[in-house]
Amino acid sequence: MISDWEYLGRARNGEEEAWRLLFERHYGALVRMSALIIGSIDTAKDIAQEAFTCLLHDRNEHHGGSFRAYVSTIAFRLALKEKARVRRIGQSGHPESADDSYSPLHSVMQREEQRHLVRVIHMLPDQYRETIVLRFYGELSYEEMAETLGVPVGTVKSRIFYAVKECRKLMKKRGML
Amino acid sequence: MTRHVKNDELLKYQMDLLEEGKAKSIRQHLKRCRTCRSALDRAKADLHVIGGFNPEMEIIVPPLPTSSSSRVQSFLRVAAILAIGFLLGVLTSESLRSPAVEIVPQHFVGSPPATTVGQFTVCP
Repeated sequence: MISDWEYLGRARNGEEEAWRLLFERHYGALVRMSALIIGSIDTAKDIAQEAFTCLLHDRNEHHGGSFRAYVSTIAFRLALKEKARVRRIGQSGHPESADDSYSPLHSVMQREEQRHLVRVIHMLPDQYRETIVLRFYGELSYEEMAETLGVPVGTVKSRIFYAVKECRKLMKKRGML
Repeated sequence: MTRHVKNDELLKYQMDLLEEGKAKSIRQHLKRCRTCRSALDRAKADLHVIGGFNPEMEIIVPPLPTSSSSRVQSFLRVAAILAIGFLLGVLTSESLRSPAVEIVPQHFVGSPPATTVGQFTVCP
């Protein structure tokens, strides 16, 4: 079976089919992950696409580890950067420019339980939300999360446990569980 | 282990957050305790809900972006084709050139130009 890393190599050599396959396989997960961080599906789509472009132009060889974790880390960093940019714009007195493209995520969700879930994840502190997103949507191992977040593995494990616990508590309050 | 496993421990077990020794003793307890198995199933279901954000979206694959290096390569390729074409054109025009045509000026011999008024004819 051909690995995603191999498809990436082929895409870098201009093979459209390999590019299409990688995109279809991972794009949705990257959008979900980015959307939970920045709160907008449209911007999340742009971030996911940008992550793929970065991946294509990154000439470093990364043939070890999970491809999903690698591309998720790129999207995660882009999403955090975008979130910081939007916060800056909001603070610098031009909130309208930030609001245009940042429609609340829950308003575009069709299903009620999905809206509740988005609300709950957004109620979590940043650190908890980030660990949930990386683990459940980026499919990163605890070691990969530690590397991405720049903290020890023990801290990651502690954060993810309390994040899930808090999430369960909030969901129970809302009658989701 | 005779007592039931605490919910937090079961959650940690399911999330693979425990050391192997502790995980092993919970695994053995679960084999004979239906209550803890039910509690573990609830934890699994909750984790499934947390990871269940899945908005409907259409995936449109954009065309494969071309890198700057491949753009440079394309440019060089076109430039090379043009240069070769130009050289071929010059060479073939040299070899197919027809002999030069000699143009011999032909003088019209007529009456000498008028120098006095009387020599002009008057129009009717």
